Amino acid sequence: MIKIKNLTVEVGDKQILNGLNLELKSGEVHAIMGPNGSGKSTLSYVLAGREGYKVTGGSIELDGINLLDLSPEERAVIGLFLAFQYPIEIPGVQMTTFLKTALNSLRKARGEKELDSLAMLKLIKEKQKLLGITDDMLKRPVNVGFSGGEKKRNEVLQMAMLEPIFSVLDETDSGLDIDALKIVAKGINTLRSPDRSFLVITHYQRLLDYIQPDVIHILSKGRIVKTGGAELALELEKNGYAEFIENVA
Amino acid sequence: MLPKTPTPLTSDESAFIHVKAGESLKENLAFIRNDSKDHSIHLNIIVEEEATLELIETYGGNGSYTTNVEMDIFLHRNAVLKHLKNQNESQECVHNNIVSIHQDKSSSYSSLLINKGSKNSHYNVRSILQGEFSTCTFKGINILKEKQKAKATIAIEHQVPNCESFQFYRSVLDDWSVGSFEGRVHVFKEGQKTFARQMSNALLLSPTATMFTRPELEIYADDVECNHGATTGQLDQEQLFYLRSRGIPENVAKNLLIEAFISEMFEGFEDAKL
Ligand SMILES: Nc1ncnc2c1ncn2[C@@H]1O[C@H](COP(=O)(O)OP(=O)(O)OP(=O)(O)O)[C@@H](O)[C@H]1O
Ligand SMILES: [Mg+2]
Repeated sequence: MIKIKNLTVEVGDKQILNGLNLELKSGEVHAIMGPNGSGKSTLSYVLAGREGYKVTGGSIELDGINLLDLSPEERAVIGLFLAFQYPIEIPGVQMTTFLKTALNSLRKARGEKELDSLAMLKLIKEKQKLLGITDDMLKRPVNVGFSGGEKKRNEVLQMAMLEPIFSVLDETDSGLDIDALKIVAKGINTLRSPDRSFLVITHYQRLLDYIQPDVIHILSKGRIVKTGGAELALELEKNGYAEFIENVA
Repeated sequence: MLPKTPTPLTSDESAFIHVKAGESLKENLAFIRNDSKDHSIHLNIIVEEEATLELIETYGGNGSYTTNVEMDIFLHRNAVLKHLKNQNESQECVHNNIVSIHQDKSSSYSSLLINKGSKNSHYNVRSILQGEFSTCTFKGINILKEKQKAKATIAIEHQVPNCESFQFYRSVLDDWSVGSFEGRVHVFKEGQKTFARQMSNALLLSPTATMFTRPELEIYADDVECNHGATTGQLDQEQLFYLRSRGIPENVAKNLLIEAFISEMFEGFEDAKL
């Protein structure tokens, strides 16, 4: 599914990712944990194709396609999705217009028939119910006036609508109360299937209780310093990052 | 006293719209030119006591020509005028519009100008609030590209107390286009409790586009609330990236953001289209 090889990335003049290697197979869920500033969001932005992140070495492939050649919208078309750590507010663009335009843009680019308003509304209703999104939120402009938790749920709503094959969730669990956390986990678990993969960036064991990742990676100073199973998260919870970070120092 | 009969019409193409007391009327005036001739249009509008007029003016055409529009508007006590102007003239046209508005007590004027056409356009308004509790709103949208120039000069006189005036302009400027907005609020000594707001926001889509904004406040009363502001900026790159990351092509995403930028202007003019 996704293959990241020896990735080095600069932001401004600063090297943030230092030879990162990561591979996810179809159907797998991997978690990335790591201290603040270790480069987790940088990785997610590079995957999504944000400007200002200069790839100075290495490669990223999604199903054999070189992601680095593609614009952000082309990456979405081949099935990539990023749930933002800090979702962006867009005053003046209504949620429903946004969801409609996004899904139909993807369908069009893939040569599929665009959905009419009725079919779209039905689909939105269905996903909305799954994620406890109120009608009121859908009437508002994108993320404007949403609470922190509502913004995160809105990211998962978009993911549920667009049905990506590879999703990166950047701290989608931060700032969620326990009920919202369960809802978000449900959103992820509902999509989970043998041909979809997820990369879940998190600081907390809590989320992992609900979505049980196959593999956990620890990122430190722009590199994966440790890879293991569920036990790794528990260990971190107990002892912190100190022992792993010392490993690379 | 405001007149109830038209001033003599001076030009080849003129219209006199008279709404009698208590009545309401919708009027659609379309001036579409394909003859490359210059035109001089005189519009005389009288809305009597308690009467309502909804007026839509549309300008369009092909070729190179000049349009001069002179407009006199009289709003009597409690009269309401909702005024939409679509200026979508040929790109080689010069369009000049002089508007004079007199408003009596408790009358309300609200307008939206959508300015897309002409290589050169000038919208020149003098609004006189001469009856207490009257209110006027001038909203404008400039959508300019290439070497288009559009200028708006709006002068509002608060001659009596307790009136409100609003001027809101949004300009979307591409290529080498130039927008200019001069909004003047003149509060007479008698104009106590005036409330006046003025705001010009511009979105520059190219580094060679320019917006000039010049607010002018001339205030002789001491108990008034007048404010003005101006911003110029570019499309927000973070918003653009967010939209694109959802699969929305760059040009569609840009258009969504441009529409969002001007969307507020359509409040009260929901039927208007770009
Ligand atoms: N635009 C930028 N200019 C300069 N430095 C940047 C920029 N963006 C990020 N950085 C730096 O890159 C490093 C990695 O940031 P990143 O956001 O990827 O960390 P993170 O692991 O996601 O942290 P957190 O857990 O706090 O979300 C930080 O030191 C940050 O200050
Ligand atoms: Mg981060």
